Amino acid sequence: MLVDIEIDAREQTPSWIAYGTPLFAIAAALAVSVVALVAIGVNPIAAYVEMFLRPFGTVATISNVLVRATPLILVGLGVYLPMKAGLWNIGAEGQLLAGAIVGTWIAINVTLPQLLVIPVILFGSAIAGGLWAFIPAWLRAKWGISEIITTLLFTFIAADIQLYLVRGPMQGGSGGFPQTELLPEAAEFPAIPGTRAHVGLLVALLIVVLVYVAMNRTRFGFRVNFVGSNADAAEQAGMSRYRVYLLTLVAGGALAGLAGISEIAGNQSRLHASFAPGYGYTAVPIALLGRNGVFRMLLAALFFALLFVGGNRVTVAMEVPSAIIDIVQALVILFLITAEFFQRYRLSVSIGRRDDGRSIRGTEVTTDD
Amino acid sequence: MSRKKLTRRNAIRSAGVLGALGLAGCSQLSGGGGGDSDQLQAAFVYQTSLGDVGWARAHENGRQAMDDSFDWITTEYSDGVPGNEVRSVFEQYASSGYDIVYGCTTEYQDPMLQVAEEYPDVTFEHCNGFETAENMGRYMGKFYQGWYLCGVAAGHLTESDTLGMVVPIPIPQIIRQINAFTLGARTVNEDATTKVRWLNGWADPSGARQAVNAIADEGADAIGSNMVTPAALQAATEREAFNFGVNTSMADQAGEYYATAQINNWAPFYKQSAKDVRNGEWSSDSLWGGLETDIVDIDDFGPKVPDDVVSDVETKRSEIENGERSVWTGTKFEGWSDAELFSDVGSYVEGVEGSVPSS
Repeated sequence: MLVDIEIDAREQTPSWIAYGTPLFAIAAALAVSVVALVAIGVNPIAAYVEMFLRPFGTVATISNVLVRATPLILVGLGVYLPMKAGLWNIGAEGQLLAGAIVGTWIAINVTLPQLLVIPVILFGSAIAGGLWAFIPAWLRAKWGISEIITTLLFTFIAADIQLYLVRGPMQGGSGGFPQTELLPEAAEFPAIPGTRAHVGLLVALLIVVLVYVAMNRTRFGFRVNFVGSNADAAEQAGMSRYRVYLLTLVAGGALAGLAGISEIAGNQSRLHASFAPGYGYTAVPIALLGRNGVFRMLLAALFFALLFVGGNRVTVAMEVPSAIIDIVQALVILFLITAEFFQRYRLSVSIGRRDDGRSIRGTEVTTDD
Repeated sequence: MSRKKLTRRNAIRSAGVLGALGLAGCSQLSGGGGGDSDQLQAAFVYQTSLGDVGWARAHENGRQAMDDSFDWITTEYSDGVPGNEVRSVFEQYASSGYDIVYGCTTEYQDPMLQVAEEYPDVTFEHCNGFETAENMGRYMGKFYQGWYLCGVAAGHLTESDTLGMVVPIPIPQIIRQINAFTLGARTVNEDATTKVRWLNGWADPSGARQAVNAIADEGADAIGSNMVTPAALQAATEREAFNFGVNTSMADQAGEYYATAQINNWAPFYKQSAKDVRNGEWSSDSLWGGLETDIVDIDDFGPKVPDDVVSDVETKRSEIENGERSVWTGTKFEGWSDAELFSDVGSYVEGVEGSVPSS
């Protein structure tokens, strides 16, 4: 018996598929994860309720999701924007670190009233993140050197600089631990009243709107989309690939830099050696899931935050090791990204013999010899 | 004056803890656990995913010992919780009726302080930090003493008079341990010197392996590893160099040249603090316990370590426990207070090659 699979690109994605597949993908991932949960004797329904519903229980738990989401939205944008131009900002983590370092330095060393110092901190972090992306951006734009490699390698440099700074020149607090002083109160991002979410979230949402407008209502956005879908055609049409590459990657770096400082000044209050466990890498699947529109990217970032916060809730409420939660999270992400494929391609499967004859002809040739 | 005030506050706080004991019974009903109001609930939070060896495993061994020792306690843990996500985890434990929350890594300090303020009736204990609050204590072991004993063994075992150490990041905690390892060796072998390789991370199996091979190439034949991976010890065994692990026993993984390991034995502390909370006698303090508290220990010696080495180590161990011997005698750190030793050790003693990476 022969199974024949044909894959065709969809010209148009029916709306039930566009909206239904993410939900179906999550459901399918959770169904598969049941195996892991049952294997360690945990009631999967209770685990899923804890993971996906309980985080919406109170203002405090919703705050936790929003606090987690804030840097993810910003750094997600930092990957999303270059992705629109066809670039892979795999090293957003490094730009995030650069923003966190410079922002923390300004916060500790510049004394200004809160209304002034916070914009200065934000500005400094954005510049730092942007500069960290500039060299890979220029190398890509000018010489075509893969930004995937260079941004990633720049991350290692940033990580080593950060480690050096927090145990050396910027080390603070007693005990000689690799961390800085606490940020002064004026530099801490104020909380949104009634919640623990902070102004970083408002900044992130504002930028989401700005990016939406820029991408959909401006000539710049048109160029980025054009270069992203077909760079050669865009050049033919007289657009500067060089400028688009440079601008989107540097802007992406600036956004990642903002993510870094918003996590420090909004949540952690000081820069630790290990303050950002891979936000820059998490941003890649977030941008990938949301690449069809910036509001989708926002949803993806919120969903990832829910996955992280909810995952922690399960390990607390039940005897579930974090490795099992990692499996659930990874399956959800894997299914979501796979589902993207089905939105864009049509799959037709036919089962049965087909009189293709190619293989038969092949055997005939060998027997003739 | 202030002392009086503190005691009164402590009394109030203790009353709060007793209240929480009652509450714990109620909230357990909703949590689905048993409903015995005498039960104490303790939660442990680890930064890394729980493996067979390492820092988190050492705490987990302590939790299990505590759980096995008392029938009036139920314990629970969460692993793989990074410092930036830990706040919600602490909140969840505190708000669901837990009486004690142990935060088992440095990075948890600031979030724990914030949550401790929100939940004054819950007792918090933070490992390896420098801040305390009325309902939040801190605890740590003088693990350099264990490394000193490892050093004594290494001084006996080395034939090349060259020791090695592969270490994570240059912070006082680690520099103390390198110094103590070297000083221990020099009590029995004046010519012993130590070669150090920094790896800039806590668990880096392939980097640790390369570093061990590099110092073995330079002649080191007794090698300590402060990395949370047995790979360094395995590499040392392959080079027929005696090796010393950290945090938990690595005897099963290290191979035949395993000498011993500096062990973090948290069980005595965990048991004591739980008893104190139960009896209303807990007060916030800063424990930096040495060999005499049993928090610091070393593993059983490997098969290739001769008996006379073992007995010399045992002698020196009891000398430290009795206060007859100090690790730092005759060094630039002699006479330093515990606070200084905890925060300010930033350079090598004589016998360690090179200098601490610039900072």
